[in-house]
Amino acid sequence: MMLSNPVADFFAKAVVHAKQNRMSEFNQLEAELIMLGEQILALKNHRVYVDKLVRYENQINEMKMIIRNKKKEL
Amino acid sequence: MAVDDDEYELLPRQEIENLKRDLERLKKHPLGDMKEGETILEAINNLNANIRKLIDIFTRAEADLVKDYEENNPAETLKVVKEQNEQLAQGLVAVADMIKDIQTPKNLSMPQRSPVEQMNFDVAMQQSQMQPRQPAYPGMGGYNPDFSDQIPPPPQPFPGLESRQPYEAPMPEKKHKGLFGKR
Repeated sequence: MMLSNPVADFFAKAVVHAKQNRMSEFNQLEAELIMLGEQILALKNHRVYVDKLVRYENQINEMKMIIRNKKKEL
Repeated sequence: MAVDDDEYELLPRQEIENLKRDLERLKKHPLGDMKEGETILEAINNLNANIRKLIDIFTRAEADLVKDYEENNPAETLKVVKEQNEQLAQGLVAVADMIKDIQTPKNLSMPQRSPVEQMNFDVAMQQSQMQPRQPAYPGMGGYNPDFSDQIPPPPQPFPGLESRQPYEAPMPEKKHKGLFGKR
């Protein structure tokens, strides 16, 4: 890859860094979703009934799946 | 005084209060209280953040690239490539010279023939080998002793030199020139 063209090398590096940035953002989002899921589980364990709790849980799972797919694409 | 000479107009106090309020509101919300204004502000903020990220990425890429180039030293690599190219060029020239040297003696010994001439020449050679020899002496009737092993074939003229008699070409005359003769 190196020495082909300085401009090409520069943009290749930039793409690599952008991907790393995007991956770290995805990781952060995934961590937040995991924390939300754990909070919902804690509410369930305390037998606290919150309206639309199941729907929120499903949404969290869907978002986790989306993030996993995006990570695979990267 | 100059201030007294300026024209001025008396405004009702209510109007001045309204103007002050509008000014404060504009200072607080420069893009207005409407939803579009908030959206524009949010978009500008997002754009700022994205540009900042892009600049950050480019800065890191540049630093990374400089580091890599310092480690790999591209000038030295290019020098090596240049030397290899020179060696390849020299090798090619040497091979071309060798081919030229090989082809030159062949051209001297074998006259160049076109493919059709070469084919005709081959066929004629084959026929001369296949045909039975004519009797050397017609008066001897059927007697045909085979002296083919002992009698060498008559000398064949070189192709292209049949019409020319030996020593036909005049020798070039050499003029004796003096020591200071013109060239």
